[in-house]
Amino acid sequence: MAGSLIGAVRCGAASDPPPRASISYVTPDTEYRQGDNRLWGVGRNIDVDVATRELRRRRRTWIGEAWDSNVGKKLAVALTGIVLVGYVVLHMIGNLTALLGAGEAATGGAQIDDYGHWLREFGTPLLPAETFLWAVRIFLLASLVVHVVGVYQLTMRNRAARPAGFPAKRIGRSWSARTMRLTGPLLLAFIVFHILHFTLLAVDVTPLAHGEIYSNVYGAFQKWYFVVLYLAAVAALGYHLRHGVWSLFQTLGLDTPARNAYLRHGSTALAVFVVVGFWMVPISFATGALPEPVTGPNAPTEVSK
Amino acid sequence: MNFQLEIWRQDSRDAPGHFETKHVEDVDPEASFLEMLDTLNEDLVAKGGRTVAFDSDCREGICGTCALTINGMPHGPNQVTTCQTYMRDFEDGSTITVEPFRNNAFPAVRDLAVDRSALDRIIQAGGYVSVTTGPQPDPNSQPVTPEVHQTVMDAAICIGCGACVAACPNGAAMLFTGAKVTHLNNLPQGQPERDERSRNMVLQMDEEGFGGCTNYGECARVCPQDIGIDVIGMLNREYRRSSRTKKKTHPKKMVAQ
Ligand code: HEM
Ligand code: FES
Repeated sequence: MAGSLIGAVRCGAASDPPPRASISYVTPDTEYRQGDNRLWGVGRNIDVDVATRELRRRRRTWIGEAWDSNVGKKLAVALTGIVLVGYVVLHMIGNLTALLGAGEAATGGAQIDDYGHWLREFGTPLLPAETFLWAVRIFLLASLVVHVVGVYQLTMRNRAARPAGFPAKRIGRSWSARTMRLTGPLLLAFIVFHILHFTLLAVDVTPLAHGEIYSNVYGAFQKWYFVVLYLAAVAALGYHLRHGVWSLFQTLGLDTPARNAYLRHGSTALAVFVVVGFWMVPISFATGALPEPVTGPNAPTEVSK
Repeated sequence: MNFQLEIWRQDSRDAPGHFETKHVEDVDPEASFLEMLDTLNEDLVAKGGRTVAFDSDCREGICGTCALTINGMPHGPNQVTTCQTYMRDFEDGSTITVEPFRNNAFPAVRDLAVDRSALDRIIQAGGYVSVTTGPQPDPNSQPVTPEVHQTVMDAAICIGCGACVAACPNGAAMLFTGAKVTHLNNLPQGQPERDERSRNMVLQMDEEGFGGCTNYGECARVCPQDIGIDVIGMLNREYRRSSRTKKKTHPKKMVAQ
């Protein structure tokens, strides 16, 4: 049926005639759902208002048109996904400076404190302190917002596309793919908590102090529940990335049959790399593999020594 | 062989549907699923009941008209069309659930028959090539390499049945549309409309109300023609390309000052 139509040949001009600039009316049997500023022909009697539809289609900018379409929106999810993955990998490598230990009180304490200081000072004296840091933060926040909003809108459209109460049978979607909509929101919740915890220092169950990164982390990971929480959140991230990183290549149209195995195994490897890297820090602190801090609120006082 | 069938019955598009239990007895294991339904319908006619409506045409796996979801699998258990599914593939005495292809872009017609013309409109949106009626170019000036030929033929075998859409948890039509775009955008004949085709087919997909791809890959597992998700990658790539292409405008005019 449908397949046979593709042979149809249109003689003559190579491009469409310009759309008629006439006003046409929405016919009564065409109901429109005005979801995120585009027309959805639910009544499927679409041919009636070809002219209006053409005008609408052509008026939009390419980026607006792409964002409106399911394919383009997913593309935005993938592109912001790259930003987030890139950040996650750098963040993980940065965290590993905690493994360099507590340092000497005379030289100002732990390496990771210096690293944090360096991030804040990056770009000085050309730029005021923290300018670079804030630029990165804003860029990351914008990426996260686009990522989450895109995913949310796509999920709503996907729900609307199938009759309620008749979910498709599961025929071989991978575990990590199936849990994307679980690990995603979990990550969002964790990101909020994590910023409150170590950036804003608002979750002061254990003593926290500005600039005393090593001491703050040391203190937190003496509590088993923080260790479990961080290990679990990183595991969720690992699952998210196992599907997500391969998926972004497919969404960008960069996967081919020849590359598929490399990309799939590569994204599994990246997920494992990120998980192991992040896990090292809480595990090292919890097992006592890392020394007590020499500065900050968790450093042992003279009395306790 | 004997079976208990749980069949979806729905009088019209807007009527509510429900499952109805039917029993079929002494079924020939070599009968196709559709032949089994034919015998059921003959029984129903003899008893004065309303027959079960379902689509079929060629009954040899090439037209893509038959469309049943059997035990949750579009077309049936074997990744072939419903007309090529045989009763020997089912366990004797088992219960078989028979549903239509479910998607909100496929409005119900009656019982197991749905209106899949949304797919036809996607083809209308871009499934054509321009052909000049004047002198033809030398064929050797438009070579098609064996690799391109293979890629294109692997996509062109799509029979447009819509099983991919029915299998997709997101109700997306990406495998179908991907096959069309892979078919035409890779051939020299498809080049003049290349970008318009990708854009228009994607727009049409959205306007029909199909969902978006989450790269689960389940569509490819039910495709009776074994089309792979590489066509979805191709569609993504072609759309990305087309969304950036500048629409043709008039050349800029200079103004004196
Ligand atoms: C650490 C932060 C995050 C990273 C590194 C990340 C990375 C990614 C990547 C690479 C993809 C694949 C993109 C594609 O193929 O289109 C993806 C998809 C997805 N992300 Fe995230 N993400 C993060 C945070 C989140 C958050 C906070 C949420 C939800 C609230 C979320 C929800 C999703 C979902 C549901 C998908 C699947 C989209 C689909 O398959 O349709 N992600 N993510
Ligand atoms: S009836 Fe033609 S493919 Fe099944």
